[in-house]
Amino acid sequence: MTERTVRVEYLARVEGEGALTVRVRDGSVENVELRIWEPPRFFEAFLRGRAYGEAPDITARICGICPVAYQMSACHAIERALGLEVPRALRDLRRLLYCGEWIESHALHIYLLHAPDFLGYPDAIRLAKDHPEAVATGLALKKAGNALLTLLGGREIHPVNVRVGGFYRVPTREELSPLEPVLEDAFLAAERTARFAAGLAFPKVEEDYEFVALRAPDGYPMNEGEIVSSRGLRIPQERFEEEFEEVQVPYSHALQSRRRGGGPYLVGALARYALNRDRLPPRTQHLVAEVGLEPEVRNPHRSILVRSVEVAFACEEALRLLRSYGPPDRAWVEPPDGFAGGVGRAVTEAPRGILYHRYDLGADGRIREAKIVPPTSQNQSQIEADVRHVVVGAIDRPDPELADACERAIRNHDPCISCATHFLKLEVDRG
Amino acid sequence: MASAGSVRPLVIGIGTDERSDDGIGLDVARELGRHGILAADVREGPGDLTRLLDVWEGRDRVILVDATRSEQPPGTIHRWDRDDLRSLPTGGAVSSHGLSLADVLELARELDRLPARLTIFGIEAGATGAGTDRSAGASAAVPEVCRRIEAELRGSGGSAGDA
Repeated sequence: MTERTVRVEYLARVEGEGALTVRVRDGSVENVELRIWEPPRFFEAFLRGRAYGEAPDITARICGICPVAYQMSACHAIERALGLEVPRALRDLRRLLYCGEWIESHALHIYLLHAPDFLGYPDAIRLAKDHPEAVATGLALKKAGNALLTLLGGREIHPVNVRVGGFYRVPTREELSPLEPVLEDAFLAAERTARFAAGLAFPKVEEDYEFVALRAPDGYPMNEGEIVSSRGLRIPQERFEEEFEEVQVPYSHALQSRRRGGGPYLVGALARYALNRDRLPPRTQHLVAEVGLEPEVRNPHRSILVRSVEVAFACEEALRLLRSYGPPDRAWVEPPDGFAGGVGRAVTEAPRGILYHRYDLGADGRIREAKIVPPTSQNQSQIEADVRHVVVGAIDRPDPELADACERAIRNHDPCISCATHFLKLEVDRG
Repeated sequence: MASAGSVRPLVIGIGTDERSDDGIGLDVARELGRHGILAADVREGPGDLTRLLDVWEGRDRVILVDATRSEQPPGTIHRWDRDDLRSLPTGGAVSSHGLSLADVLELARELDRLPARLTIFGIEAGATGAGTDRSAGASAAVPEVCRRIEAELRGSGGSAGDA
């Protein structure tokens, strides 16, 4: 028997710490294990006994890149438990805040983490040496997203202005209007980004993904909609756990998700786009046509292009919301009287894909039980499958090249490993 | 970049409050803020260090304070100038959420967005585990770093600004 082991000590340019082990026996791939060794963080446990109002701020601490996603899923789930209807004006403001996070998170991934892979650079610094204008565009986009986040969230990282029922304070028209030219410039930067991404050379790959995303009656999904899949699934958000299960694997601190009775599935930009392309607003649709983006993108390397389109969408949507903004009558709404306890579940679209929260609240308003299923947990099995395909296709390549190809397969999905439970270590064991 | 002397110097404390001595740069910023500092603005750093390029835009004189790990006793004070920065380790990304300080400084250099005069004070950290308590060694360095920052700003003539 011939055996081979390839090791990469950690995977760079991913959000979090983890490792990958690939075992090859007699020329075929025996197994692929994405090991997340970032310690478990016990957020679900220390939410127990807390007042429901604390959940948005506690869960925001799960991630420095996508805190708004945690706040959004937490608020919507708790509001569902409370029977609290949040008026459209406040929902629009939440959507505007989410646009800021999408722009910032995607711009970071596109330029600082992902683009170096296509242009042959080890990192963004070396990329900046030869392509300063590209990196500067990325930083300008991040700055625009950050401006939204800072204004609506109260500060630029781990926003503190979101609460169950709405916001602690809503901005005035005068405070928001200076952001219009900023977002208009950002839209133009997003267009340049999509053109830049469209010009990259992509490895030829076609994956048979089951895409899972939200789909709403109108608009590209963020906070609202049913859960749909490319294989016909269509369920209300409340039924998430009926269709998707988390399983423990011995080699990882993060739980993995799969379809009950089925296999891996993919959430995130590729899934949202495939299932909601028709919901993109006009200028973004025009951009999609201009860069020649196919209706469904099944080449994970091309996710950089889909993320660019989503940045354009988030800028266009933010502009629409800014231009139509009038301050809501109230910054937040209170829940109805007589709450007797209950369970609320919600899914929102984090930049990396659907994020599920469930809260079981006592009549005293304290959290009895919490469950959080982040997008990276859901994508783990699919990422392993992608890596397996890479190894099968490149099994004869020397270890460093193979390791590099595996890392790229993982970075395609912008995993946030710290959310899923931080660096990725790659180990290919050829026996 | 703004012309020399047109804006006040900026002192930026960097770190994470909840990671023990990693928050020591923030302590320096707060200490300077509490006592007031002549002819300089003081702020706590952005969590996302790439934002530093925006934070110091238009400033000619910037002083950064951050925790360091170099296996020296906690509280040991390091000092680097703009031109010493290449001796800082880049790559290898100790920070997983974006870029490390050294990486961001190198990125800023590539994009020609480093302040004309940049000084970095490092305070050697002891513990960097979860928690908001600082080690006695690191805390003891805070008044000294504040004193040295004020001395540098006086020595530099600071900036004219509105001081």
